[in-house]
Amino acid sequence: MKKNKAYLFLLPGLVFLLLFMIVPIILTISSTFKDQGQISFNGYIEFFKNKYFIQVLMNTLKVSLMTTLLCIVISLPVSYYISRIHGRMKSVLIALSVFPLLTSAIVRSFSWMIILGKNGLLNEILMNMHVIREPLNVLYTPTSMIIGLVHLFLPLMIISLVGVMENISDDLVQAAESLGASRFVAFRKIIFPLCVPGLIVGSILVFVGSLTAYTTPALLGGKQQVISVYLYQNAMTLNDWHAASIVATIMVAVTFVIVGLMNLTASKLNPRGENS
Amino acid sequence: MSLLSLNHVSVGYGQNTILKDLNLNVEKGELVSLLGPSGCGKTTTLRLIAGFLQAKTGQFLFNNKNYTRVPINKRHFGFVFQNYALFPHLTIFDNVAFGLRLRKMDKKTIEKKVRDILQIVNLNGFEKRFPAELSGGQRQRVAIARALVIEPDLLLFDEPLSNLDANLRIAMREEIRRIQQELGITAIYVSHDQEECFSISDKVAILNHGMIEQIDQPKAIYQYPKTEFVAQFIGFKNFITCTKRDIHGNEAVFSTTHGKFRTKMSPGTKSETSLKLAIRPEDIELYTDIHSDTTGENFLTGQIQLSTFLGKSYQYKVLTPLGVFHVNCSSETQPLAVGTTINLFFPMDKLVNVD
Repeated sequence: MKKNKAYLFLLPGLVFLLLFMIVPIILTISSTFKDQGQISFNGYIEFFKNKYFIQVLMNTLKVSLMTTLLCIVISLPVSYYISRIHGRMKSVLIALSVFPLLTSAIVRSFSWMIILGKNGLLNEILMNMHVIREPLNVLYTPTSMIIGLVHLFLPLMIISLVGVMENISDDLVQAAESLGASRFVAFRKIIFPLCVPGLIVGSILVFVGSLTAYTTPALLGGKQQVISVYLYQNAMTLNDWHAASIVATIMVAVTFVIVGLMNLTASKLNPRGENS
Repeated sequence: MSLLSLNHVSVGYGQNTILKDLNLNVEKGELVSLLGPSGCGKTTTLRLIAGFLQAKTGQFLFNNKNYTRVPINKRHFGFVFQNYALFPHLTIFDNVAFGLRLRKMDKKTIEKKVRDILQIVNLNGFEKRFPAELSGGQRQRVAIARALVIEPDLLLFDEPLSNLDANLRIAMREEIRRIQQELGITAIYVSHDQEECFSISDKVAILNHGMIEQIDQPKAIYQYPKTEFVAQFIGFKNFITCTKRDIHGNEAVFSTTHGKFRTKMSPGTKSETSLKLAIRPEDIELYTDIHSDTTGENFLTGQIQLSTFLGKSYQYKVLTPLGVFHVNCSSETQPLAVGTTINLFFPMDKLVNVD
């Protein structure tokens, strides 16, 4: 019996989580199913009838999905490069790639506003080079939101991918090449499938992060609303805590569904889900 | 014309030269081993042939074509790695079929070829397993099957057995030799295990500091090492430095400061200046009674300094006027005490002249 007392070490953490996270979440969720003391789904039915809400939800999903895909595309070559080098250069590159996480969201977003604005750096350069005649409308669109979010979350994807890629031996690529695969085919058939576990972890982090991000979409999105901003407005501006709780519950549900779908894809892409 | 020739090849990173002016010829159907201490350049040579690294200077000819700059995936060579390098996310079938699928063969042909090759390496029935579910020996057989199934023009082995335990190593090397001869494949085999190389090869090349010291049939190397390094590497522990060499027909007499040594001339001419003789510890005969029959040519008197029990034999360290000699004697006889004065006899057919 004495040996089994190790679980006691878990207790402080568990109590903390229970009191300050699990209980509030249950209270929030259960409150959404109550209408004047009775159990009802009216709140949800009303929400899903609301075309504006559906549009905001879709908008958010689209932005998060695009952010995740872009992060994957940009991270794959970068992480592969970082995972193949050694020594000092590697630590320098990892530190550099984590840098966006170390800067304040507000500072980061304002820099993007300066770059992407109507009279901003980007438009000025493109017009001076005579690539365009009229200034582009980038700021306050989903595009500017995606740019800001990719900038913010890229480090999470890079770190997750470097982690798995470091464990893939060079011999595997050379074995594939000696069997007739070009570099690209070796990457696609060997490296990529073995990266799937890292890819899933990175995608979940980036997707959930984008879905719940507030500052960046609020500053770069303009009139384009995302669900987190909508939630904030319901709670703080309209003081409608019931509606805000419903939005929060829907966000949690969407997150779970997406994470589940990603795990499903992962198990199809890489039946072993391990590299040994 | 040889199937494969490396001509004056050198490889190096920055200031560091790994291979310098290496020449190697391999005939069709041969199994040639590259043997040497670690850092001698044997693995580098193999990786160079595979195309994993590039030569700084020199030329690599294969089948009369210049392969020096041909990329790995166009060489059509099979490579068997020390750590197997199986693809962990693919089944045994998919691992073996990997090269065939890249060659755009139809499904039925692939299935047949994979099944046939798994039969050859005794792994039929394992198609649906994953590499992690197999033992070391089984994994290495999968790796061999994967390299063989593409019917490579050349098969390269990079210390394929060094991760296996001793008994399995012996079984696997017989297996490798059987498959290689059965399919008539030309192969190059890298190992640091002498016995392994000698037992499976048609020819053995002994490398040292990025150069080939000697390349010959295993038995020829074993009997007649050409250089002092080769002799030392394959177990000659005793060397005699002589002052003069006189050749009489197929015999030679070497003079030293303490007596003369007569030997048979070894095949292959040695340079005029090579005045070293080598002999294995087990080939020296030892006499305790000193009289006229045990003195004279090929005899040397000494005193036992140290006696070590090696199991099969005793090894004596004997101090003589020509230096220290190691002599092995059967452990069935009574061991000799330290300090005993004895006579050493060097049989003329066991004494080898080396560079």
